[in-house]
Amino acid sequence: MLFNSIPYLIFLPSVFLIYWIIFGKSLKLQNLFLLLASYLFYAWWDYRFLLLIFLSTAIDYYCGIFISESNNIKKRKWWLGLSLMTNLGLLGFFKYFNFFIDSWSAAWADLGVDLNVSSLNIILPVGISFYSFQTLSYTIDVYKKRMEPSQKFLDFALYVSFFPQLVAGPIERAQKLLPQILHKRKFNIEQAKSGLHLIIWGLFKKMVIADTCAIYVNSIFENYQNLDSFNLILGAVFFSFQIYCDFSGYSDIAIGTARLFGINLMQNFNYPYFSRNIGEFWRRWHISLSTWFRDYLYIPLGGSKGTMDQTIRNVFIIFVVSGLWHGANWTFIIWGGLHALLFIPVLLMKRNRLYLDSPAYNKFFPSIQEILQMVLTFLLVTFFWIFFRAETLSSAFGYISRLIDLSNYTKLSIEKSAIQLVLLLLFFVFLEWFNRQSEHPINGKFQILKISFIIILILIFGNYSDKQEFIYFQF
Amino acid sequence: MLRICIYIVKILIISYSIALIIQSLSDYGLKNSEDNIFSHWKSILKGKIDSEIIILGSSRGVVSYDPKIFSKQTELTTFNLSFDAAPYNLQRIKLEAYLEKNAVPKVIIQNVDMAHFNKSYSIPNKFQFIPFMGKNTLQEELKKVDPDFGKYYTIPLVKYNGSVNFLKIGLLNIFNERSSTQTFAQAYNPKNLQFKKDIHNLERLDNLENSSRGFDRFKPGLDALEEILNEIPSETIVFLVWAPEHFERLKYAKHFRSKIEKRLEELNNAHSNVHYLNYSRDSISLHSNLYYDTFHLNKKGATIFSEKVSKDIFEILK
Repeated sequence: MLFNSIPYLIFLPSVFLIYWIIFGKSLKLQNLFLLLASYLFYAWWDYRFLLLIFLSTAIDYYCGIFISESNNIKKRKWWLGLSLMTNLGLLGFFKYFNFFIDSWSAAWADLGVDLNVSSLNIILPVGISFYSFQTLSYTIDVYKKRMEPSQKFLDFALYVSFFPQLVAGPIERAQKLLPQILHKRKFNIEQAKSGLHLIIWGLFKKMVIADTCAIYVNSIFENYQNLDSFNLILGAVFFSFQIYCDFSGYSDIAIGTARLFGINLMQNFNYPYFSRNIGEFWRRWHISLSTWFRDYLYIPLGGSKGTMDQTIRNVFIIFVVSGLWHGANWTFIIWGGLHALLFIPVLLMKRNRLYLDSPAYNKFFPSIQEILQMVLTFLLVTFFWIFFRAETLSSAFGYISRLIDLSNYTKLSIEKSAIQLVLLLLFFVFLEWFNRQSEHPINGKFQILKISFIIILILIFGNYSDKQEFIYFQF
Repeated sequence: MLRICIYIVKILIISYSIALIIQSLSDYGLKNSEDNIFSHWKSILKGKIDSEIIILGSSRGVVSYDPKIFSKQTELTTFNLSFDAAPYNLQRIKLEAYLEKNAVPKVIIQNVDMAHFNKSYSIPNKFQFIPFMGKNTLQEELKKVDPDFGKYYTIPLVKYNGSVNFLKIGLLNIFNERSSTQTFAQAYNPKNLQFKKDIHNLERLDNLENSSRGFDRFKPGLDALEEILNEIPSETIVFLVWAPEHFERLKYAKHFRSKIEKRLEELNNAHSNVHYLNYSRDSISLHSNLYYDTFHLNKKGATIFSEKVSKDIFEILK
């Protein structure tokens, strides 16, 4: 069920009340109830894949135990390998089988050889990219002896399938989430209020900003061949906000929901469009995924500790794999590759760890330099998003070639409603800017009035279509 | 736990109250705006129009029948009740809404043509009902056409979702001065445009006779017309008027057209208070400068047609 749907509006308060009122005194029953609720949440999407998540949970649970119990390094590696193969195998099959078959066939077709291999009609299980990585991080951490394995299957199952972050993250580390599951949780009103505020703010970002942008983005990207370049620029900018508000909105709702149950999830977005270079951008965007790749792929490959060639190779691998993680399409791979090209010089010049604080820290306005840096970073990221959004490489290149064709800048015809959306986005940017040092704008004084105002904006501007899923569900 | 529930209830109460106030103000502003679709519906739902002649139709009714000309010719008050983009089932809802609060007219002029008898399953231009949503007959009837219509209208401001401009207009209109004389906003809205051939509509018309549904698509509409004619008091005179269609359009769907015309003639013969006036092939049809597409008269064409029809009606009524 979607977070912005009627079933969820019924599901969440029901689970919340039962969790605290009926099972509040028993940790075991709380966890069991939360697990059942999580499985119900997942089954709502597609009950057929419940077995898959259960299988993945069981394999990784026992792999964790056997890894920990064995002192033989070969046996430890064997169990780790089983976990890797299961998770990556399932992910690879469901997500990439058709992509590789089609790409392989296409490559041979270019050489004049018809392989006559047909792809399968595979349905992608919702959340598989997220929970696979989550359980992988567990078994790897156990293997590396960073943590002890969980001895309680039910608690581990809850760690894997905890519903707020099950389908689209944040990808939680076991070291952070499991202890919270294992320890008694006491109801804290400030934590619950904070969770509620985050949910409402997330709904605003999703229903008002992201879904409104989506209407224009879909229209512009479907019809780019007939539009002037000003509209194509708008299309790319609108998509930047669509994907940011869609995904960060979801994360906010996930984190806020978890807080209602006394559980703290990691921050997943930290105002990424206020980044002053690409290094900072990747510390602020989809933090749970980028840190996952850093800790479980980049550092094991050697990170930036080897030669320059090795560093460049490792960066490329990370970004290309990150692109591929997003989807089985060459557009995502190119998107990842472009980010690698931009990131490498920053890394080699040791500028990737600059700007660890918030832009214009403790000041009202940024400096001219900061403004230029933020605008440039935003424009580059927006340009790369074109590949992310386009259905195919040819449409991405078609879009870009039309965008940079100077003859398309002669005629300016932008709809009034698109201009209204631009104003809405400017309002949103100002709102985020003046609250960039806190989690969201609802904190501080007059909270109830602020919340009421946001609810009213959701009622008036929110998109209630059942068809507007969260973008990251497709990954 | 209790405290968080109280907190949530406080938020809901305050949000609901503010939203309800904004909505009420905007509804008030829209209903009291002048000379637009909102004031038109307000006129109907408040009653007191009590017009002697009612003109009904869809877009042809809206653009082709000038009530002032009819009123002047017949010396009877005339109200254009047409419903843009709405075929017979929706027009019936509007007529019933009118008759709920207004006196039964002496004369009903019903524009008919092929499109009139094609049932609609969706409501056109839903925004026109925004300030009138509520527990009333109109909403119930419209929900029969579209079950999703007015869903969640009890949550304030949801009905303005997707129609923010009207929220703005409604709120701004609160501060506008209103005229003290009462005038009723007519549906008549002629278009002062030049002729442009609507090829896509002609192609659709061309495909009509080959479609699988065939003539069956028109039968429910024709049956519904017969039903209404049986219900209308015999004192009320009904004119079934087929407005002129551009000569290019007349080349298509001739078989269906003649079947419908035949049925209308039968209805004409079966009811003493019903008169069928077929202007579909009138000389107006030959002049492109009187149309803005092959189906709709422009303002000049509407004036000429209204004068023609009103004279003929006057002769019959004498």
